[in-house]
Amino acid sequence: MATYTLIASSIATSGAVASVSFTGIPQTYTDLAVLASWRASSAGGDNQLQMSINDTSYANRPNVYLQADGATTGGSKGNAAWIVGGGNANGSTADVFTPTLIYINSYSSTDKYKPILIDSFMSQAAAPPSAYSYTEAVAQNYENTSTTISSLYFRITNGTSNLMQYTSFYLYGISNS
Amino acid sequence: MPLTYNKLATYTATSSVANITFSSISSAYTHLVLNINAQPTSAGQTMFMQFNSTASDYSWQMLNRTTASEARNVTSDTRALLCDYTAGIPTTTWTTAIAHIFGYNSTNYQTTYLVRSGNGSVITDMNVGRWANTAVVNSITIFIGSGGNQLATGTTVTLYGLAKA
Repeated sequence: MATYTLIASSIATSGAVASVSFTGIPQTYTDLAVLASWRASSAGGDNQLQMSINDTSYANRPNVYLQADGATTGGSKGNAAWIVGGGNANGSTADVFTPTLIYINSYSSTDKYKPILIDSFMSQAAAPPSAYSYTEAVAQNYENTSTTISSLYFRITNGTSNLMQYTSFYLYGISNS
Repeated sequence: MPLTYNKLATYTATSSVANITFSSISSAYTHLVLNINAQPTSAGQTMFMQFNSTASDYSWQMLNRTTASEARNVTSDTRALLCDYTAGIPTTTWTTAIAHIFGYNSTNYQTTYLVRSGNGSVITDMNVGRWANTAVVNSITIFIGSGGNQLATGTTVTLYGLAKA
């Protein structure tokens, strides 16, 4: 039976933070899961969360995303994959934080790529559909065979905005035994 | 480091039931996870949940693929969608839904959720939504459609809490 173990958490209890870092991730699990509730401090309706692996370069990763806003369905394949997904910014409906689930498979392996699945949802105005109320299902790949994932970094688009107070990130290790 | 994927409660229907409710949910966890394996007693139905027995302030969005086509929808509702808003959950197979519930114990922001659900014969589903309420969630009720539709014998629902430490 798989077991989840909390490795680390970052909770903005006393104010906004510029970024979230998880470093020194133990290599003793099979997979990683990040459960985040976040909201950007920028004035507009939405902004984007970015994730970097093993350093703060926010380098490209190949990705495919599927997106729906209730009226239309879209998606694309590309390389701007440091983006985790869109979410609520401070101009959106008050008190709504974007839930994001990131699952990183085989993060401690040294013989294969590390595929990543991301689900997230941004909820905006009460009267749907809205361009700012959308679902995202993302698949990415950390295309490095020999390097394990030992650290994760999160920020809002290029560091131009903060993660608001009450933003929370929880990093879990998942064991298959 | 302690294990943190804790089973809070589980329920298996020994006869068909109108709903399954977990109450007095502890606020000691960071997130909740619902793991559902269900079958309705009548065809063409949809599975929902409600928090704190409250029938208002939900908005959700679904993206799915049935045997016929892709579909999407977004709406305000009296319920939170768990599975299927188009083809209906079949009575001839079993449907699973795994729901991650965020912020259930926060009074600073609203409760949101992500759901993956489906079965091998009719649908695969991704549903997301929020409850526009900052109350702490202390009960969750799972039910089928409306008006007397039931969860069949053998339906199993397990509630997990992801612990803080």
